[in-house]
Amino acid sequence: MRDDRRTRVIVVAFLMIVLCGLLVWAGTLESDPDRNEFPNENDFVMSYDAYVGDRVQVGGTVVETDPVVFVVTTKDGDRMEITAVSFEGDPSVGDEINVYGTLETEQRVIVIDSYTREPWERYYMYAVSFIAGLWVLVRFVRGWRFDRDTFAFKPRTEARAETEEQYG
Amino acid sequence: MADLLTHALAAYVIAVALSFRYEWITAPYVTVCMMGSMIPDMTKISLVLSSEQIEAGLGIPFDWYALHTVGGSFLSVLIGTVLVPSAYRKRIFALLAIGAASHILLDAFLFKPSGYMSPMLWPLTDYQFSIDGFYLSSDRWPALVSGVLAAIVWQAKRYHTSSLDAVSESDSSV
Repeated sequence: MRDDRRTRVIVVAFLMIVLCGLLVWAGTLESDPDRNEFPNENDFVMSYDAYVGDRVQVGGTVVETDPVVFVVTTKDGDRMEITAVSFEGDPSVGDEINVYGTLETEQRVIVIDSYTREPWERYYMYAVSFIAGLWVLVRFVRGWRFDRDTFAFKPRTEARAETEEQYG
Repeated sequence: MADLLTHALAAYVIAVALSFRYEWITAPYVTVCMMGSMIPDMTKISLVLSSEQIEAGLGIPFDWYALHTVGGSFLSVLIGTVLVPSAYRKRIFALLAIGAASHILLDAFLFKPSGYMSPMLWPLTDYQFSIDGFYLSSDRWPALVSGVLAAIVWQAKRYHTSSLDAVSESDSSV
């Protein structure tokens, strides 16, 4: 590939279009238990009866603890309260739980396995992820520079080495 | 996804370990590997602008999750590779790909209640393989373990470099 600005812009634009195509393609895929991809709240909330007896994977926020009841919200904003039957563990109200189990009538799931996350754990995850992003960004800015003539990133150290070679 | 700190530290460990064998892997190149490890989590753009908002806005199917798959990550790595001059291209491709692969490998071991990993190998296959995950992305110990490993390779590299510097004045700091 040539190293001029025009070629680079064209190739990047082309790859971006292919990537967008991939994101659209991914959007057309549906859950399929044959591939071990199980229906979730977005599938069963609006047509509940069709999924009764099926394995589902669903996450939500705990609103009652005895029995464990959690509220799920679909991507369209619809909400449903579901009772987690034979849930192992002792979640508190406000915890986020994720369960895999069998969908039953009367908005119940017979839990096969699950995990619980306290609200602060999610904040921890975001906080350290943000710190990591910042760390790598600082390293990148210190290590690399953007060359406007060729629209390319070059290592700062090697740019210095080149200059030294040229000007002694 | 494990937390990004774990991914960045894991990529740092891999890149610095490789730098013992490949001396051209200096600090800027270690950074590239760390950036590669963050590529799959670009899918978290969805926290700001969800796939559903895009679907509703444009009227077409859409899923950010594709970025967190082999296919989406590979294309992202290619974009990164094109953004450097041709002299650096092979190195940058290799490091971005190693970083992204380390991310997907680590995430394969995330605990899922169903016992099946996410379809990260898509579009090669969208089959979800059975795997015994053993950690959550909000667990603290993965970052701790990778942090300790990072400190070890960092010290080892410093020691290695200073002993090299005694022989020559080469700059191979990480």
